[in-house]
Amino acid sequence: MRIYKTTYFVMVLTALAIIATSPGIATAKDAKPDAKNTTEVVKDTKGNFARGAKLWANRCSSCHNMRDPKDLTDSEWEATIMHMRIRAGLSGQDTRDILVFLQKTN
Amino acid sequence: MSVMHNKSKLMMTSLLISFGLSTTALASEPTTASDENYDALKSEISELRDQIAIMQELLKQQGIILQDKVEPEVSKAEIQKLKKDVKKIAKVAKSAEEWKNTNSTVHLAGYASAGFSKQAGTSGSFSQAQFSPIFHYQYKDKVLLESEIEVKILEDGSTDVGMEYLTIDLVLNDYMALIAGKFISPLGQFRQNIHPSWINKLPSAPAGFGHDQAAPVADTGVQLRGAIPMGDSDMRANYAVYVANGPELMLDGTEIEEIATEGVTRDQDGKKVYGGRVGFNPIAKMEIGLSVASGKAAIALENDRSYNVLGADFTYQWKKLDLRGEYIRQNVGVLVSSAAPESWQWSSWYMQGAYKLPNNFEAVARYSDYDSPHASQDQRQLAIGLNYLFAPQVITKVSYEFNDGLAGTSAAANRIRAQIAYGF
Repeated sequence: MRIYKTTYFVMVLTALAIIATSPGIATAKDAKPDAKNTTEVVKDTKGNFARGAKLWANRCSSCHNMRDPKDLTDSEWEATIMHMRIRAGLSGQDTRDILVFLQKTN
Repeated sequence: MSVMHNKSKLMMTSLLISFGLSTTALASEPTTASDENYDALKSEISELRDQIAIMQELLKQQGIILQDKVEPEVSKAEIQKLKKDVKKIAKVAKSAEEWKNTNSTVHLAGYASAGFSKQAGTSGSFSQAQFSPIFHYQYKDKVLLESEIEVKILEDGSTDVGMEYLTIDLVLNDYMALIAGKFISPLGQFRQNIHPSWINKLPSAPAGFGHDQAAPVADTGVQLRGAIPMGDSDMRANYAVYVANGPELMLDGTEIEEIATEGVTRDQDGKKVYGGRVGFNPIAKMEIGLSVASGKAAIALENDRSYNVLGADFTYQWKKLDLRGEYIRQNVGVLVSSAAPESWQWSSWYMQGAYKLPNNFEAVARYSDYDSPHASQDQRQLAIGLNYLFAPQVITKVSYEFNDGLAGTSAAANRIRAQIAYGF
């Protein structure tokens, strides 16, 4: 029974590792404009204001009242959104989009 | 405009030269000139004088036009442009100063609350003063250290300090982060996302979702969590899987009094607990979650026995309405050799609805039902409340709890509660 559970857990981790190493997935600071990534990927590493506004309205209110972007400075939002990325299971792209929105409207 | 201005100047200069030459010519004319010539010259000079006067007037008018219309418009535009430039420069300067040569960011967040409660038949008391700072220390967009410290005043006035969680989060890529340390249990929704006082819309937790009740609170181990790629659609999905030390079972006579899930750093049974949660957002503002965990748990100095958790949760927002609900169940299996050999189970569920009213008021109603192996802990509760939001993160709450439990126990006593909560 224990071996079964361990195997199951390893399989889950393996599946997640496959997701993790999928092409085109990279953190913002890993992507370089001159890399062989598509133009879209390079653009996305900067975050998208419109997508961020929509995600902010749809995702953040799932748990709590939406904070005024002016509540925090750019760097405070950076740490706060990093925290929410972990807590709410946001993707890196969603995180960058929301961050751009908050930093441009604070 | 400057071309016209130059032309006018040229014309005027020409006229003045003509006038000068004519005057000179007149002065040098011999006195023997005929009266006819004299009159013609005089007439010509007079005509030139008139033309000069006209030109002077025209130039004067042009000067007035420049002052009254053109120059102010240019000046305003320049001022506006300058203002924009200054703002841009100020923002760039601020940003540059803020981030200059720094890869790390320190941030203090958290929440605090103060509360009053009165149980039916007793005098009320200001029963709560709690401060929960959360420290964030971030390195680039790759690492986040986060820790919440819970500081609260106990009934006797002493101060209780605890570490709610401490994790080092390594961002592996856009869809995965590795979390190590003591973390809030990822099972279910209330404990990991809703319990902070500025988020919870009522002053208390639902029945069964407090510490050491039906919902696991925390664990110590490692966790992988993040988002699941869903293409370009609006759908989203997230996951969390973990392996941890698991809970400890607290024996009281021949009964297991409670499952302690506070995230111990020892593992009495030597067997780990594996579990996780998957959340799915089929549409915006809706999430459905499923949680499972399995492993071993033990009473101190006894053999291990099976330990399982099952949970389901949902949340949905529609206009001013916020709906959420959750079910969670923990059970431990039979162990014949144990002082408490039977199987034991703790389960609870709640449904909550909140509606935003005009002028920053909010009405809340929640029903929860906690089933424990111990009759004195069973509780069914209906809580209704009215909140006022000073700001999105500053909330005052008043609620009344109708409790149904074993007669004579605190689980059966109705309560009124009030609380001020501030998230920062």
